[in-house]
Parts: sequence; structure tokens; C-alpha cells
Amino acid sequence: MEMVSVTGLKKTYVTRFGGHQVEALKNVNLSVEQGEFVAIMGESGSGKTTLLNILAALDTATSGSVVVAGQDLSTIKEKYAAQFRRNHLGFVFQDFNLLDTFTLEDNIYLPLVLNGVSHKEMRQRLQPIATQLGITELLQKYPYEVSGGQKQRCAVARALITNPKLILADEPTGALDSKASDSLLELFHQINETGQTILMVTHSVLAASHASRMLFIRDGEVFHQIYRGTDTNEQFYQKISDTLTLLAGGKQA
Amino acid sequence: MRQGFYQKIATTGIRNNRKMYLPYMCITGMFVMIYYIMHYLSDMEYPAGMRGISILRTTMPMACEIVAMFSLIFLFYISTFLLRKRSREFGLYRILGMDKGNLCRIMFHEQLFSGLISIAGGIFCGILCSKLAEMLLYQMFQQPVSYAFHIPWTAVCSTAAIYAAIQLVLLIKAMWIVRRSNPLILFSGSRTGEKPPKANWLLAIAGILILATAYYMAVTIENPLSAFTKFFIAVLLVIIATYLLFIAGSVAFCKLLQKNKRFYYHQKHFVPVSSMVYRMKRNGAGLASICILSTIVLVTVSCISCLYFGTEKEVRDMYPYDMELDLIANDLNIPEIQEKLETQFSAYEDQITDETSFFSAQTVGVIDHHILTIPEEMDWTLSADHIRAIVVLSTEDYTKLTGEQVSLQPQECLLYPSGTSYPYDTLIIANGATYTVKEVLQQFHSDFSVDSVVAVIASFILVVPDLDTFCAPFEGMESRLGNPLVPVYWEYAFNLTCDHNKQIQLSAQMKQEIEQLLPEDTTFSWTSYAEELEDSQGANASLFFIGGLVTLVFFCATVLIIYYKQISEGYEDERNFAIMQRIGMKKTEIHQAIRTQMRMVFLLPVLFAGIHMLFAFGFTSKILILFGVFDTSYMALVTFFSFIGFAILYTIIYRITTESYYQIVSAAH
Ligand SMILES: Nc1ncnc2c1ncn2[C@@H]1O[C@H](COP(=O)(O)OP(=O)(O)OP(=O)(O)O)[C@@H](O)[C@H]1O
Ligand SMILES: [Mg+2]
Repeated sequence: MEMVSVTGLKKTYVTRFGGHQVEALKNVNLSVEQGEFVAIMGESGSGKTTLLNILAALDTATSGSVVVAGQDLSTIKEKYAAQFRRNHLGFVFQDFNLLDTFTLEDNIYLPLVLNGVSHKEMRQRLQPIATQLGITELLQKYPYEVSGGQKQRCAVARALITNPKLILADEPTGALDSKASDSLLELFHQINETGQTILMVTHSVLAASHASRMLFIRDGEVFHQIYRGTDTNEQFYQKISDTLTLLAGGKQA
Repeated sequence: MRQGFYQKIATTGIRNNRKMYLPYMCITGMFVMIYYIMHYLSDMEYPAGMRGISILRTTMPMACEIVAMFSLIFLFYISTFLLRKRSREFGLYRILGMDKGNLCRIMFHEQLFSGLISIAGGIFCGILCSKLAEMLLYQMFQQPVSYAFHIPWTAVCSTAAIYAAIQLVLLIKAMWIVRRSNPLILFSGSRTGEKPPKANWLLAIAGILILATAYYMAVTIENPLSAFTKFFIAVLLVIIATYLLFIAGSVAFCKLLQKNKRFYYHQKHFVPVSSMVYRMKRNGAGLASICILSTIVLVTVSCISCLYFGTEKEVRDMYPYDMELDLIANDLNIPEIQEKLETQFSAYEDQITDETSFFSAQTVGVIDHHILTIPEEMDWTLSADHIRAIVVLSTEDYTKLTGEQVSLQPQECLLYPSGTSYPYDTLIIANGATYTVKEVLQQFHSDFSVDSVVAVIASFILVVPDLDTFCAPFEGMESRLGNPLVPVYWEYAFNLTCDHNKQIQLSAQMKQEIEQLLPEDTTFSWTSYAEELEDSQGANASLFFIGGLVTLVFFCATVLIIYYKQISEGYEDERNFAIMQRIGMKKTEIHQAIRTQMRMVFLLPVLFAGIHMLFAFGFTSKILILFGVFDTSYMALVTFFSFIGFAILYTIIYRITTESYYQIVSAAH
């Protein structure tokens, strides 16, 4: 089944003064099957975050069609967009975006509370996830009391607890050291094995090498993509590095 | 050149923080303006025709001092708050290589700049508005307004001096804060989250207990004259308790809510309750200040309105007749005096109506069950439960006053207890007669005016068959002041058909005639309703005016605190709401959550102010009795409407400032 299907997506920002237009996405065509783990790479300003925001119905496309989990996002109303996000999507951000006023546990519960799930059921759902992520001991702490990697694991738990069909991650390893990013990527891998679809924006080749497919965006278009096939992580890493060097060279030429 | 550099940094510093500094400078200017106007009005020469203006002249300097004092405290509080908000900025300057001395120089220029603008602006507006205030005052006194415009330099100078001194204090504080600023603050940053507040149960419970004590004290006060200190202590306790409850109690309450899982993990409660804990911790003190300021505003406004709008009724209650002569009749030959008076006043026959006269014995006694002692020296430290004002009338005069027929046996009396009850059927006067109480009257309808002090303490009005028999045992005894122990007053009163101005003229004329006609050195009191009315109207207008100005100061302060609270909340919540939206909260849900919190946070102070006012009502109403407002239901009505008016105004301000909050929050998405 197709989880994400984007055709002819265009996004133009009109700057506040003078009506100057920025074309963040020119013509994006993209299709992601259920159970895929897709990494998206691209230079700064190439439109990656914009794409994720549109997939999450946080922003609307200027033109083109966007269908996520069978829902056409170009016609969705704000009211339903929030509900759609809550029920079908999980978000992981570069800077964790945990709420300081909640304990880690309450942070994870937030989407469920919004859905009106009972406290008992929330606890039941959290337990296996917390064990898997190794944060059971930390649940009563506040975000300021734990490390970056621990925060990110908590953010992942928050993304997973609603059992979303699609997980969107915007540079999830950006603020982590190599050890913490490794274990996070390993975790993504495990989650992906259980059948969840993941779309991850990253600047790190190492991170991208955990994916099953790598998309390269440049100037608002999907410029190139590589499939892992049967490669090991190391082989895929090498492939990606080679391609990047090639692309960089090609650009200079 | 270097000088110019610091000035430039200082002005950009203010400009970049204008959302914070503009209101601050405005309010400083406002305080300067009001102070100037008050000074201007108290220094002015008033025409002799303005009766009661003396109250304004004597009270205004005190009000000036209050405003100056309050300005100092309040501006100190606000400027500290503003500097704290900028600690990151100062940290940055330090990292960029400025030392403490440089920062102090920037502070100096900032203070100079903002101080000069607000003082100059304030005085300028003050000069413009002073004439307006003067005209308003003349209008209230129904006097013709003069259009001459003048600027008293003493007022200008002293206003400038006082506020320059305040600015100096603020500057010292600012330099102190800047000196302690630490570049590391940039890295610790307010972003990384603050510790979750802990509930301090001890303080919370202390708050509840102190408040309960204070309320109990305020409610049980009976005699406002002797209990002024008690009331003052109660006020202090209420202030302390308010701070404790807002700072510790609120957090404890939220924690309690969080413990209740079913309540806490609910769509509607989850976000508001959890952020409320932080909000209350950060804003507890500010909200408590809002609450106390609101209470002050409310109580002042309601008392002054009571006085001002009820002036005519108050004066009429005290002086039922247009003209009234009171004499201590014990050593006088009243029938002879009355005859002389009537002959004398026959000249005004066509204007005099409703002429009347009667006797009453008035004294103070101590009641113990059914025994009433009239002591030669009153012990005012006795509990108010035992002190009774005593007014004695004869049946004859009782009938004259109330129109009700009674016939009493020699040893019988009627008793009307006011502000108390009387459960016995005999009344023994120590050293005097013993009466059987034939009837305890439930009502006493008459034009007979009780003295205001009498109205404050509980009193008995006795109706006896013969006044002389009642007084006989005390014949020749004197109180400490040299008056007869049981003075018998003779009151001679009548109404006039002419208008008030004519009445005031006649009053002076009649007073002279009475003086000549009475035996030499007789003390008497001669009051004219019209004169008293003009005096009271003048006095009440003065109070109303001063109270209005002072209230304005307090009110502006309240508004500013609310504004700052909203703004800083806005900046703090901006990020959180962006996150919540990503997690899947609808915009409407977010707005709902914001609204719930804001409403709870900002309605709490008014709610408490209302409750404080309710408990103070018992006391304030008794104080008002001293000023001649006897009608409690009227007071309650005015108080109620003051509260409603205040609540409406508060809501409007809350709405407007909420707008600026929304602007900040929604700028995030
Ligand atoms: N709200 C906005 N208004 C105007 N222009 C915007 C807005 N958001 C993004 N842009 C522009 O759109 C382009 C793409 O931005 P986007 O954030 O998607 O880049 P990115 O690929 O995520 O970059 P990075 O790797 O640095 O995060 C940029 O040129 C940016 O300036
Ligand atoms: Mg980005």
C-alpha cells in the first residue's frame, strides 16, 4: 500500500515585504510504500523541512496533490488536520520539542490525552515502549534533568505511543553525539522492522545509511535517489558518499 | 565621540525593548502628571464661597505623599522586573567585551533618557490637564470657573525634584543589577527549563489560617473607634495571607489537582493545569499585588461613592429640620426662652413651618444584664457589649415625635434597643429608678436624629412617664468635662420655605438674635441644614476628587502589571504552543487552553479582591456611619455596583492585553 504519494508539489512563499517570492518546492514527485524507511538529504534551504511540514498538514501546498495514508491533504480542513496528525503521524524533531512544564511521562502522554484515552490505557501502552527505549527509570523526571539523547528517546516514545502509520523525523540526530545517534538510528531500524513507515530528513550520511532508500533534494526538486537493495549499512554508506561527491562535483562543473 | 556611542546603545536598548519600556515610561509620566496636578490643586487660592474646600487643602498634601511613595515602590518593582527580563542582553554585552563600568554607563544614559522624557512629558501633560482638573473641581462645587491659566513654578520644581530623586534610586538599583550580571546567563538561558515548582504546604496552610483569622477579626469588630488598630492588623494579615495564598497556596492547589489522575489526564485539564503550576509560581507575587491594589481601589471607590452620592440624604438624616437649636436645659428656664424665641422669630412667620420642640436626656451607661449604671467617668476600654448610649424621652414628647399614643404607669417604660437586643422585663437604673419594661419596641419611626456617635455604639431609647423623675437622682452631678452627668437637651427646630442661599443668610442673622436673647455664656448649638449640606457637599466633593486621583494611580498600576504579565506569558508560551500544534492540537484547542488558563489566572485576583471587600464591608460600613451614612442597604448597593463597575473595567483591560498576548503567541505559527 502507498503511504505517501506526492505529485507535482509546488510551494511558493511570498515574503512579507515587497511581495518577493521564494520557491521552496518547485516540482516534487514522491511515493513511499508502507514499511519503507526513507532518508531525505539536501543542502540547507533546499526545502526539506517545507516538504515535511506539508506532509504533516502543518502547511498547505501551493499546487500539486499530496496524499498521506489515504487522506488527500490539499482539501483537508484545519480542524481535521490536527486530528489527522494526532492519529496517523508521529513527529521527531532535531531539538526534541519537549514541553518543559511536563514530566517526561506526561510529555509522552500528551497526544493520548488529547485523544481522550483513559489513564489506565495510557500506562499500558507506555510500558512496552518505555522498556524498548530504556527510559522507564526516567519517566518521572523533567526535560531539564536529562541528557539530549534521553530527551530524544522520550520524543520518539511520544511519536510512537499513538501507533502512527507514518513517522516524520526532521534531523533527529542533529543535536546528538555519535553514540546517542547510533542508538537512535538502531531504534528507528527496529521500529521499521515492525512495519512502521519512517521518513527522515538528515544531513548525516551515517544516519542516511540506515535507511532503505535515500532521496536527494536540490532546489525544490527530488534530484536523485538510491535504493539500498541488499547492501549492508557500510556498503550503502559508501554508495551514498560516492553519490554525494559526484553530485557536488557535477554542480561545480 | 565615545559619549555618543553610549547614548546610542542606550537609546537602541530602549527602542528594541519598546514593548516593555513604552508602557513603563508612560506610567511614569502618568504618575508625574497626577502628582503635579495634586500639587497644583493644593497650592491654589480658592474663593471663600467654596465651602468644604478646606478638606481638600488639608488632605491633598497627604495624598501627594501617598502618590510619591507609591510611585517609588511601584516603579522600583517594575524597573527591576524589566532589567531581569534583559539579563540575556547584558550577558551578551559582557561577552562582547564590555566591562561592568561600561554597562553602568549605558544604564546611566538609559535612565537619563527615559527619566527625562517621562518627567518632562508628565509635567507637560500635567500643566495641560491641571486647568481641566481645576475646572472639574469648580464644577463639583458649582462655582463659576475662571479661565486664567497659570503655571506655579513651585509645583513644577517640587514634582521634578521628587521624581528625579526616584529616578536616581532606580538608577542605583539598575547599576547594582547590571554589576551582578553574569555572562554565563547566556548559556544557562531561560530556555532550558526551570525546576518544576514544589508545593510548599506549610506556607499554603499558613496562608489559609492567617486569612481566616484576619476575616474573623474584621467581622467581629464592633466599635470602629476603639478597634482601629485591630482593623489595621487585620488589613496587614490579609495582605500577608494574599501573598502566601497566591504564591504557595495556588501551587499547592494545582499539585493537588495533578494528584487526581482522572481529573488531570483529561483533554480539558491536562495542559492548563500543568502550565498553571509554573505560571502561578512565576506570577504569584504579581497577581497578589494586583489583588491587593484592586481591593484598595474597590474599597476607596465604594466608600467615596457612598459619601459623595449620598450627601444629601446623609445630611438630611442628621438634620431633619432646616434649622435646629440645641441647648442643655438642666439649668435654664426653657418656657421663658421659648416664649422669647417665638416672639423674636415671629418676624419670619411667613417662612417658618413645622415648628417643633422637645426634651431628651442623653448620656452613656454601662449595662450588666438588666442593671444600667451611669458612671461619672466612663471607662471606654470596656467591651462594646456593655456600653450603651442612652436617650430618654417623655411619653408626651414621644407622642409628639412619632405620632403614637402611649400611656405608662409611673414605674413603666418603653425601650427601643438599637444595634442590640433587650431580653429582660425590668430595667434597674443604679442609684435611680427601677422600671418595668412595658414593651420592647421593634421600630422607632421619627424625625428625631440620633447623634452619629450614638449610632456607632449600641443604644437604648427609653420612653418614661416623666423625664424629671428619671433625672432627679443625678441632679448636680457632673461628668469630667463639666457638663451635667445626665444632660437634658432641649431641641427647638423648624423648616423654612425659602431657598438654601436665603437660609444660609437667615441662619447667621438668627444666630445673632439667639445669642442676644439667651442668658449670657449659655452654650448652644445652632445648625442650619443648608449650611451643613454645602459643607458636606464640599467636603465630600474634595474627598471624591482626591480619592479619584489616588485611585487612578492605583488603577493604572494594576493595568500595567496585567499588561506585563500578559506580555511575558506570551513570550514564554510562544514555543510551547508551536510544539503542541505539531503534536496535533487544534488551533481551537490551543486557544481554548490559553483562555482557560488566562481566565483562571486573571480572574483570581478580582475574585479575591471581591471577597476581601465583602469581609471589610462590616468595618467600612461602620466607619461610614461616623461620616453620617446610616443606610446599610444603600452602602451595600453602592459597594456592589462599584465591584461590578470595576469588574467590567478589569475585563476590558484584560481583553485588550490578551490581544497583545495572542499577537505574540500566534506570531509563532
Ligand atoms: N515561512 C517561510 N516564509 C518564507 N520563506 C520560507 C519560509 N519557510 C522557509 N522558507 C524558505 O524556503 C526555502 C526552504 O526552506 P526549508 O526550511 O524547507 O529548508 P531546509 O531544507 O529544511 O533547510 P535546512 O537544512 O537548513 O533545515 C528556504 O529558502 C527558506 O528561506
Ligand atoms: Mg530544515
